Formats: sequence, C-alpha cells, structure tokens
Amino acid sequence: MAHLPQRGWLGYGVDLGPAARPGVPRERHARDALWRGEVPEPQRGATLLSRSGVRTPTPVFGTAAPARGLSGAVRRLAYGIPEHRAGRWALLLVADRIDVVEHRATRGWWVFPAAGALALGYVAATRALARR
Amino acid sequence: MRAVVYEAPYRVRVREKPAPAIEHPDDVVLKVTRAAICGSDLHLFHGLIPDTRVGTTFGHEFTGTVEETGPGVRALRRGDRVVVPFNIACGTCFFCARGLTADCESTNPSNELASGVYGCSHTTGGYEGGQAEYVRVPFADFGPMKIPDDLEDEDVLLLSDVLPTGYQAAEMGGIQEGETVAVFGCGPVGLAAARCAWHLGAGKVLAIDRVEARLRMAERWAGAETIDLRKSGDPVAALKDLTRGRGPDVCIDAVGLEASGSAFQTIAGRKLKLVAGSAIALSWAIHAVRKGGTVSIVGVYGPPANLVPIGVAMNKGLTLRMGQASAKRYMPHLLAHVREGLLDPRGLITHRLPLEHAPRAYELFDRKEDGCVKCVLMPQE
Repeated sequence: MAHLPQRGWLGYGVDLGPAARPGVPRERHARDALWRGEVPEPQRGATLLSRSGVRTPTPVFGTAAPARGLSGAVRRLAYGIPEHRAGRWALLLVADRIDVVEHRATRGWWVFPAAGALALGYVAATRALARR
Repeated sequence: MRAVVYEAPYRVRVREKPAPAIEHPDDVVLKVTRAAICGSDLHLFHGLIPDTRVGTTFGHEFTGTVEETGPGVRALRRGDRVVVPFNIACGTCFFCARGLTADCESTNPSNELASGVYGCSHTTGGYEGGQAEYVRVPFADFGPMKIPDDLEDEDVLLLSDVLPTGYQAAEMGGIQEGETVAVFGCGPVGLAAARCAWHLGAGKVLAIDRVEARLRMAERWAGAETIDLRKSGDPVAALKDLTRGRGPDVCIDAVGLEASGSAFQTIAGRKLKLVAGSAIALSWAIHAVRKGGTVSIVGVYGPPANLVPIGVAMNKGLTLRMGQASAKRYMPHLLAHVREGLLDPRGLITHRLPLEHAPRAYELFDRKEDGCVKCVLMPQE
C-alpha cells in the first residue's frame, strides 16, 4: 500500500483537541438565549417572488430564472403544497421536464417534428390521390 | 457576458446572458477568475434535483475580483481578490449567530431546507452561479474572504466548498486519537475528508471507490488505504475484515444520491425516481460502522425520502451527524493550514479549461474520463 505512515503524515493530529476544531461546539452561543437575530434590509423587486411561486419573502433572494409559462404554473402549484408532502417535490420534477420542452419549443426545435409531420402528411395525401 | 447555461438534463451550453447587477445595498459583483465544477453540479446536470430551471447558471465554487460594490459594502473594494463560500449567509440571523451559516434564514425564500446557495436549483433561493464571467454576491461584508497576496486564486479556490465540507465531514465523525475512519467515495470531498481525518488524529484511514484514478489519488494525496469496489464487491465485508470484524469507528458518506452498487436502489431512486436517489453508500456506511460508532453524511440527498436502514442504525446505537457545511466557519482555519503547507487543495485540481469548453468539462467530470478528479473553468482566459 502506498499510503504514508500515519505519524509521518504532514499535519498529523494538529486538530486533535476539541479546542482546535472550528465546528466544536456545533452551536456557538448567541448574544443571549432570547436573541432572535437581526433582519437585514429587504431586497427590492419583491414582485418577482410572487411570480416565482415562493411562499415567504426573505430579505435577499435570487432572480436567476423567474417562473413562467406552463412550467411556472406547475411550480406555483407545487410551492402551495407543504414541504413534508411528496407531491410538492414530484410536481417540481414534472415542472422541470415541462420547462425543457417549453425551452426547446421557443428555441425552434418544434420546426423539426412539425416539418416531419407535414412531410408524412404530404406523402400520405399524394399516395391517397394516386390510388384514385 | 458569457455564462454556462443549463438547457436540459445532460445538456449545458455557453451562452450570452445579461451581466449581473447590484440588487441589494450589501451586494458586490465579481469578475470570476476560477470556477470549479462540483459533484453537486452533476446532480443538477442529471436533472435529479427538483426545481432546476432552464436558463440557470451553475457553479458555487469560485474566486473572483471585485468589479462593483453596493452602497452598503464596507469591507471590500473594487479590485480585491476573494474566495466565496458556497452558502449565502447574512451573518446576523438566528442561525448565523450560532455559527450555522448553512442554515441562514435570510437568503432562501423557497423552503426551510438550507440557506441560499449559488448556482443551484431554485430550492436554494434561485441565485445565479459562478460559471460565468461575472456573478452577483450578496452580503459581501460577511461571506467572501480576501485572498492573501502570497497565494494564487487556485490555492484557495477549494476553500469555497470542497475543503470545508471534507473537514466538517471528518469533524462530525468526532474522531478520537487512533480511531479508524472509512470514507465512502473518493471524489474531491471524500479525498478532503480522508486527508483531514489525519489532522484530527485518525489512526487508520480507509477510502472506498471504484475509479482507478481516484483510488490512486486517495493513496497519494490523502494517504489512505484503499478498497477497490471493482475487486471487492461487498465493501461492508471488506471493512469488517480490516477492523477485526467490528467495523470502523467512523464512516463518512461522501457519495450522496447517485451512488451505484445496488440495482434496486438505482432503479427505485435514479431511474424511476420513486425515492430521492440511491442511498446505497449511506446504507453501506450504517452497516459497516462498529456498534456505537458514528456515521457522518456530507453526500448530498434531496427531499422527500430515501431508502435508509434506520432500524440498523437505531439497534447499533449509532450517532448520525450530517449537514451542508457551514463553509464560512471553517475558511480561516483551513486558510491557515494552507499557508502553513499542511493542506494542498490545489493538488486536487486535475483539469483546467476555458469557460467556452464548459460542456466538455462537464462531460469529462461526469464520465470521470482522463483521470478527472476536479475540473476548473477559467472564465477570463
């Protein structure tokens, strides 16, 4: 085995004691037990939140891809279901797949299946006419 | 600006997007210098995480130079080089005051699972990620850490996630001097956990994977003994054999929901999505660890439920510790280790590509081709 001997390993045991470990104790003491924290200044543009279908605004939020279209409607429906229900997460996964289809449609991917369907229709129609 | 954009499962492209703007007085906009691809990005890339929206830019491990500051920012100036923790945290709320920045309640409006995270699904707040030329960074006085002049960006890039997560994984194991630690998964986080276990006094470190390059990296970079899953199909039996039949004192799950090794878990979790991914690595960890031992979980699992042998854990009297790393809490400590030469996170980076080659980078990392352990994008080159 190519591993180094443990005691020779660089930095061996440097964080052995609890005092050397940044995450010990797990919870640091807050200023006092009843202190509930400060609420930062709110970010503007909260209308985006309702469009995203989220429940409770936080002071800061992302604006990467606001919910829109059919996928957005499904997402809004999903966020209305409590987090402990599987339906919330299943609906979000469904919305993700709808989102992909919507995206492809808007980028022109629909042209190929539509052209294929038209071509098939043309062939079928010409054959039907030829039989007469 | 140019940015990596998610378009469908297994499809990302580099597209033109509007550059980010200051949206809150405490924001800064960074010019991204390095952005790593994380295993969590692959969960998004595979379409496994709910509410992953088309058009989102991934990336939560990045360094950059301050380009623009909001009116409320005091600690940073234009031109400062910074590394940014992956959790977006305010620093003042109920949870941040207790050191639990991964649970910040000021940044994720979508649910109560975690804080906001850059470039993830909208279940973590809908923030754009760093795999782009520019990125918005909220609460800039609290989150970002200035990079000392004597260090390059790549020296500290992995302080954004990989190193704090690996360290916290080892720390949550409550390792006592001389104990045996087993790490499931030799991705970057697993490797970091294995190496940090030595710092916490482990007597033996065992690393389990099935990818040749990663096993060699575990031996070379983390000093671990390795168990090759291709040769020993049953990792639980292999671990018992190496520990006088009892099992390791601490088992760390650094794999998460895309673990392979169980047809049942793969079909139920990854193919049919009846449960939230495959939890076979966690199941192995629970079965392998000694009675009364500790299982530490940093592999990512999503809601709502997984197939986990909780009855085994209960009957063995195990301690289960888990969570997203509160990265900010660990960054100064780990920076000191890097400066002292005790840790070399840069050594995990195996591939560097320009931003325009991001689709290829995802492919390399996803398929673990060409010995890829950690892939870094260079948006300005």
